[in-house]
Parts: sequence; structure tokens; C-alpha cells
Amino acid sequence: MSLLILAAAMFAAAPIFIAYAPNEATMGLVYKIVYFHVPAWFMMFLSIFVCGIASGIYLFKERVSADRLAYSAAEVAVLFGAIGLTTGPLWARVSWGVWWPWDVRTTLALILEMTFVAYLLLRKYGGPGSEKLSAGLALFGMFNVPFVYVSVNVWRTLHPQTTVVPQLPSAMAGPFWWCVLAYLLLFVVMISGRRRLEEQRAIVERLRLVYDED
Amino acid sequence: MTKTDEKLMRILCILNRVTNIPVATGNFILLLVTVIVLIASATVVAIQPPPVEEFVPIGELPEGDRLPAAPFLVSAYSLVWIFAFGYFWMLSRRLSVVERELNDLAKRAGLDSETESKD
Repeated sequence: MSLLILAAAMFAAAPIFIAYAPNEATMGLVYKIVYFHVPAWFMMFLSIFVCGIASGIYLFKERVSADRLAYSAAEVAVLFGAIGLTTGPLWARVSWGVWWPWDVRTTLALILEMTFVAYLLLRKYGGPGSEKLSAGLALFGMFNVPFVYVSVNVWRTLHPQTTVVPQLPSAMAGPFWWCVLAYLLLFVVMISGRRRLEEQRAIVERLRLVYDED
Repeated sequence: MTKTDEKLMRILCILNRVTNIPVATGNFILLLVTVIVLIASATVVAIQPPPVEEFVPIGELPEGDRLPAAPFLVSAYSLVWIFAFGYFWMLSRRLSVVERELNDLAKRAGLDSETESKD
């Protein structure tokens, strides 16, 4: 709970730091969406790596706790992906004149989001055995992340390249990493809350099985 | 038949009762609606204005072509709050449902053990 309050306080304070950060020379004020958009994708990638690695552990070592972590991370990945996919078009509309350019980065990002939506649907409606199928899907999704990340450097696209964040001047880097930290706290709180739900569900299932046997 | 199929069949049966449309016709209408939605989505995507061929910095655009950036920035910030708040609300609801189930099961276990000890 204290982490959640801290994350909320950091998000509440973020506009103050962002207001003091300078505007980007060509895009102006709208560039400041970067402080909410890029950290959301960072957290989505992090969630996907957690989901993919946990799914690998579940597939090869058959640890149920890893499967629960993977399920939780997949849901959080979809949430951060949704934030990225909704804040991005707001930026695109002002700076590119269109809500959604069907270029490589945006299309691959959408496919990545849909992969994890498919994961969640598979878990919900797939029935027995869907855990292993979805674990395979999570691994596929995880291996797609590097392609999404480098797509802006490899293909010709409107989207800014990956060199933008490392080259941010200190006046912009401060608020940016502040927002990343706030998102990271949010990620930790969400994953732990979601995992707790999975654990409680597992206890309920186990108790029900015991009653059904009696 | 999966749970989703059962739900779909139930919806079709209710529709049938309400509208007197046979299930097969209902299936056909559902397919037709899906096709129409797909065509409509494709049309919406197709009529998007073409992206600019060359990059023009916002500062060089004529005043009339510029969009005010502040509402977009505020919307982006608000969206983060809405998504986060929505997720935590959803999570707390699901947690309370599971905890209620756990309490019910625990109560049942307590009752069962009491009955056994009386026997």
C-alpha cells in the first residue's frame, strides 16, 4: 500500500517537473507526451520479459508459481501496452497529422499487444491445458520485443529512433527518469497485487477440490 | 461445447424468442454484422488523411494548421491515471470476490468439523 501511495505521489508531482523541462525544438509542447508514453512501453517490455521468463520456467521446470507470475505479468503488460497505444496517437495527431500511421513500429507494437491479449483470452477460455499453450505464446511474444525495439532503426519510419532517450539533455532526462521510476513502482504494485489474486484463487480451487472429493 | 459457445447459443435462443428469428438465420445475421463491422473498420482506416511525405517541423507550419498541444498532453496524463485507477479498482473487486469465497469455504469447513465432532 505504501508503494502505491508513493507511486501516486510521484505521478501527481510529475507535471511540476515536466512543466519546468524545456520544449523540444521541432515538436514543441506535444513532445512532453514522451514522459508518459515511453515509460509505459518500458514497463510493457519489462512485463513481457517477466512473463516470458516465468513461462519458460513453467514449461521446462513445471513450477506452478512461475505460471501464476507469468499470468499476472501478461495482464500488466496488456495494461501498459494500452497506455502506450492510447498516448502514442495523441502525440502522432499533433506532430504527424494522423492518429495512426501504419508504419513498422506502430504495427509491430499493435501486434505485440494483440499477442498478449490472445494470451489472456487463451487463459480465460482455453480450458484445461491452456497454461502450456499460453506459455508458448508468451515466449513467442518475448522474442518479438527486440524486433519492436530496433524496428525504428532498421526500417524507415516516422517514429523517433532508440537514440532519443540516451541523448536526452539533463533538463529533460530528470523528469523522464522520474516518470520511469513512478511507472516502475506502479508495475511492482500491480504485479504483486495480481499475483496475490492468483494465489488466493489457487487456494479456493484446492479447497473446492477437497470438498468435491468428500 | 465450450462455455463461450453455450453463452452464444443462449444469446441466440433469447434473440430467437424475442424476435422469432430461427437460430440459423440468427447465425447468418451475426455473420453479416461481423462482415459489415469489418468493412466499416477497413473504410475508416482507408479514409485517413495521407501522412505528410516530408517532415515539416511544427514551428514552420502556418498558424491555421497547428493543433493546440496542451489538451493532448493533459489527455495523455489523464489516460495514465484512468488506466491505473481502473486497473486497481478491477483488481480490488476481484480480490474481494475471491476473499469472500475463501471465507465461505472456511465457514463451511468450520461447520463440517463441528458436525463431525457432534457425531
